[in-house]
Amino acid sequence: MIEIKGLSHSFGKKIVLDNIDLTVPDGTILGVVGINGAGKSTLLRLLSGVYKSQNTVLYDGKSPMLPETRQDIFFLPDEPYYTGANTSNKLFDFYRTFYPNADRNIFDALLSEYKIDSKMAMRNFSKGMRRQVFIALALAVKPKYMLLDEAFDGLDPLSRKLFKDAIIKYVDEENTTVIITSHSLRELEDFCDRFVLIDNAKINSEGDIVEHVSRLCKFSLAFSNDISEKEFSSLPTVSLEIKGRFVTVVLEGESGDMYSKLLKLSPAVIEEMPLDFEEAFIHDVMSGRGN
Amino acid sequence: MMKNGFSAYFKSALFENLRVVLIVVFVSAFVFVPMLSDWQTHSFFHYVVRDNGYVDKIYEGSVMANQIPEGALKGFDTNFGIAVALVIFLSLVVPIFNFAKFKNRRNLDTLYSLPLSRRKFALAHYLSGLIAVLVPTAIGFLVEVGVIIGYGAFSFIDLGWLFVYFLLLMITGWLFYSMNLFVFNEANHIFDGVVFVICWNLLFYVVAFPSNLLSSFFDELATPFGYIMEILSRTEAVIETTPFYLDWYFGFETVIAFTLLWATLGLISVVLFFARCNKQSPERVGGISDSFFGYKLFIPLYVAPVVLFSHIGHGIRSIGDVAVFFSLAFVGYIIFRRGFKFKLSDYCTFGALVLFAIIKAAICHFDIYHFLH
Repeated sequence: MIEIKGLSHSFGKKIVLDNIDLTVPDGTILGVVGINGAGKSTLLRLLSGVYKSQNTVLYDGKSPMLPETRQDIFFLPDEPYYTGANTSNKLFDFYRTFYPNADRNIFDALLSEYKIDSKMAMRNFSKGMRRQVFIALALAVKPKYMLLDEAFDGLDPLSRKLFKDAIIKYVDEENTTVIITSHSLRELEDFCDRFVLIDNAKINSEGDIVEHVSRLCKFSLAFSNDISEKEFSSLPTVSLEIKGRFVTVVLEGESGDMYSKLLKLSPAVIEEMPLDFEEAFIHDVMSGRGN
Repeated sequence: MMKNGFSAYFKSALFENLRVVLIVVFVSAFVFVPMLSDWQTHSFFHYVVRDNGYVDKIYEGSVMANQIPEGALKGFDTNFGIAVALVIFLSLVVPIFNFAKFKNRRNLDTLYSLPLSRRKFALAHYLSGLIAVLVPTAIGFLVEVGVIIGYGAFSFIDLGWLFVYFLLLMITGWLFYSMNLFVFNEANHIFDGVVFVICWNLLFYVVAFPSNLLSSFFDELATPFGYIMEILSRTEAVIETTPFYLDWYFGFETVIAFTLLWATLGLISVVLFFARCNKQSPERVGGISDSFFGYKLFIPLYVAPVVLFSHIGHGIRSIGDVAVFFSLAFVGYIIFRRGFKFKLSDYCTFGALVLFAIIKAAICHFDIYHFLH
């Protein structure tokens, strides 16, 4: 279990993370979301021991600053380091000395699925191919905690699917904890158990993605005459867009209740629209509110 | 397991350096050898003791060869130019190449998340860099030993001093590599690191230059590369001429004083490097290099002696020269802060130097040069 208590971090005078509290149970896939510069990567660097966390981060009670704790952690940064002469095979051998449980068969199988030549120098790979090698490495290392920064970057749709399937399978089998950041919220929505939204250096909202999304509902309405914002003032509006007689509204609440309330405005047409995690995220950030 | 992790990382660091070393050795072979190694100096000579007690060397085959008396002691001219060039060049370049990866924040994301302590990372790179300095240097030394053997001249040189020479080559290589590594590692950016290495290597020379306190001999010893060349050329002379010149070549107190100075600074560098490697923040990498052992130290150290010794030396004669150095110091602060966002400490240091210059100009009319002599 990862316990974060009162975690703060700043770059000079700029506070990036301010008094973050978070508990991540074992076997969880946690998606960390936030706008650019929100502090997602900084959070992962603090969790991985790259930045010093002053005992505000604990893995089963142990600090990630201890090399023996990092034995259980695999951090895949946005742009991982490798030497130009490295082949995938050499990279695996190098990592195996740090992570003795690393499984060659898993690594080879994943590279084969990604159709990557393990004897080719990595400097000749595209960004996406290098990403695939490191993802294969992350899974082959079999860490207890996997920290993935912008893991989907550069991956084609097929590779993304392979990656997500592999992660889900791996978490089921090994009870691994995965923390992943991504700008592609639709990708996270598919397979994360929970999410954390970081905004203005604090946790803006967190919880189950499905539950969080289901708290909001989106409707498209058409009226016979022009309508004003005032008509919607009594409703729990998250966002409202009026274009003449046409309205798109996101409301916080159970969709059946909201539908009934909207009917009282006598729309000519009313239709419930699907709302995904990305829209919920945008609404959360724009409104600057959480739970 | 951790031991395996360290040895694996050490091997990878060593392998990375191999490319740098091969390039340097290649460059040495094709550039330094013709430049620095005059193969003609590999020749036999005879000692000729003159009536006034001086000892001359007369080379076999020279026009003066007919002056060689019967039974004169024979010697052989050696030339360790390749080894000296390698030890100087590598001790300057390897710290920069070897630790440049630690000046990239993205590299640190991967490296510092591995289960290895930062001190062990530093140790692995320190040792791999040291090997990259010393092994090619030792090979350069052995090449010269091979040449000596090839000439059949082994019996004409002092083998004991040859061993001392090898030790000095290794020790000076180790100490100067450590010094350059320490100052480079204090920077948060590669550019600043290179500036620090240059500033450090010229520091004592710049201190000595305006003072004109000592002869040019001081100047030679005041830079690490000058010291290495001086101490090794003196030892090489002893290898060749032990029977006559031992006292003469090592009689200078200045040489001993500088040996103590550089050895002390080298050892301090080793200690400080390992003491501070654990404290540097990856967050600051790529940003302003505000370590005390950097611009904060070098800028005042470069300017203060100029102010102190203005008007007295052959190098600094007028207040205009001092003004030039203050302008350079100002530029130094702009480079340091990457712009004009100076800190209070910068204003204080710069202000103190200006105040010092004003006080010195107003009060200290006496000539410090003659005062000290």
